[in-house]
Amino acid sequence: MALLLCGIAITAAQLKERALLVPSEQPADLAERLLGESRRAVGAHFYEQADAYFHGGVPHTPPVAADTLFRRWRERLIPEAHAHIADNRIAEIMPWLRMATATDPRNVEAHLVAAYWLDRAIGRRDAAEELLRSALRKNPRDYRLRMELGRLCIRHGEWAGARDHLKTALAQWADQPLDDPEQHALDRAEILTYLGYLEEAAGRLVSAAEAYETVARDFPNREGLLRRAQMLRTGEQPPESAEQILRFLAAAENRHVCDRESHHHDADGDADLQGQGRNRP
Amino acid sequence: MRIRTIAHMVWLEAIRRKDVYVLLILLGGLLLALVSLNVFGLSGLVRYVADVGLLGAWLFGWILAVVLGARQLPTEESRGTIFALLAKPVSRAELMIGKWLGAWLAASLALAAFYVLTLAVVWARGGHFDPVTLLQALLLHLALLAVLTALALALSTRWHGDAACAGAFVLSGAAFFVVPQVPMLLPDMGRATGLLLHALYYLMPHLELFDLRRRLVHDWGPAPWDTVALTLFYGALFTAVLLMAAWLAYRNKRFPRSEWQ
Repeated sequence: MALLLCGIAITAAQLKERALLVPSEQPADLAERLLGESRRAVGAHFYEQADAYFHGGVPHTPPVAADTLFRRWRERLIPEAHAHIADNRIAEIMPWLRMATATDPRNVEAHLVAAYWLDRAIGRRDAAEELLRSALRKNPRDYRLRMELGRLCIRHGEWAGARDHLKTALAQWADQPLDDPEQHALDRAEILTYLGYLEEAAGRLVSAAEAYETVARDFPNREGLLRRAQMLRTGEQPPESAEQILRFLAAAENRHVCDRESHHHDADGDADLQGQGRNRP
Repeated sequence: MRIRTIAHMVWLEAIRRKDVYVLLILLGGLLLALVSLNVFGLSGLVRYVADVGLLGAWLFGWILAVVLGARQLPTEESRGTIFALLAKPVSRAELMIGKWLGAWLAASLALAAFYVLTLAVVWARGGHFDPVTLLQALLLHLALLAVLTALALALSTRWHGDAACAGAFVLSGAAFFVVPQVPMLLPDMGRATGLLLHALYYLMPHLELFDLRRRLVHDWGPAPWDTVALTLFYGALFTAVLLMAAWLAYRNKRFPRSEWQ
């Protein structure tokens, strides 16, 4: 028994050392060997756990048609109303996102969410960038990773780097349709809008105007962008400079409407984990 | 007194078979793996350790309760020791209650050890549990083990040990995972199927009521005591019903001696 315990302790110590040293794809390979295709389901479960933690422990549940005695009883023991956890507790979701990304490296959404919070709430830009780059090695054609890298650069005022990433994201965008065509179109509009501001800040006004006009063609309600394009073409000075807007976007809190309509809300938080990184700005 | 003696024998048998130690080592290994996880180089994260540790305690407690409950009577019968036991001034009702009590207490002691191990790791990592919520969670968990051992024992009165074990896992798993989902299925069902599902929904034990892990892990504070007391009563009632069913199935059971000669 003592020998067995020693063996477990030594193996655990070795594993811990390796986990700290090896690149992050290593556990994914292990997960692939162990779980095969079922790793996608396991990874999705870990991602749902992260979402539940983000909502103070309340998981997504479909709306129930009938209100029963046992349901009310259960509700007294485990309430289903949820609040969003404060930024200083956001680190609690990271183990689940770590497990989700390690188990299923193809789960781009989990990588995007993890990178977003690592940079935004935990202040670990290095870890966020490393995670995105590691996801990029496994999913080189996924435009969303380049798009998030572009956002990351914008948040840190690295506009040249942001422009490169967003240009690549735009080039990859057409090759990779999403299940949600509306989100797909919104992503393109977001890339083009960011690119427009970046081009404008770099003095390439015609290129910026073209980007704004393309967005306005796809989304006619974005009249502000069309007006801005016209101003640039006529040599007029827009009321706010592109640099100001980029700085504002970098500093702005990203707020979203919680998609859990079926739940009552304890607090007036409006962010949702599964919406992070999407529908912005 | 006779019930206590039978329960004591079950307890000694459980210690001799070392199932508890194996599960404890497995839980220790699981917790060790969890604390070894490199979470983007972040430190001080403990809630997920508590969560998975309690999940392990639930899983292993469940396995132990069913296995201990299901193997008592079939083992006595297959060894032929049931004759020596029934030859003593012990009624079958006392035998039943003694076996159940022993299995439940052994599973409860093991569960306490699982909780202590999880708490030790959580505390060592700087985490904590609200003591009142912890007490409520433990009480409800013990009530769940009482239902599970009674269910396994009841099935083992008429089934072989392995079959009773499998049956208890299937029934209790369905009661925990499927039964709470029935109201969501009802709108898509026909009238007859809907009625059947409705009946099942109210007749099957609602084991999900005994699960306070989420409240405990996410620091929601204690549940209302009246609801906890009602749930404990519900567990006691179901245990009594299952033990009664077990006694009814066992009281006239015959054991042909030729099978052991």
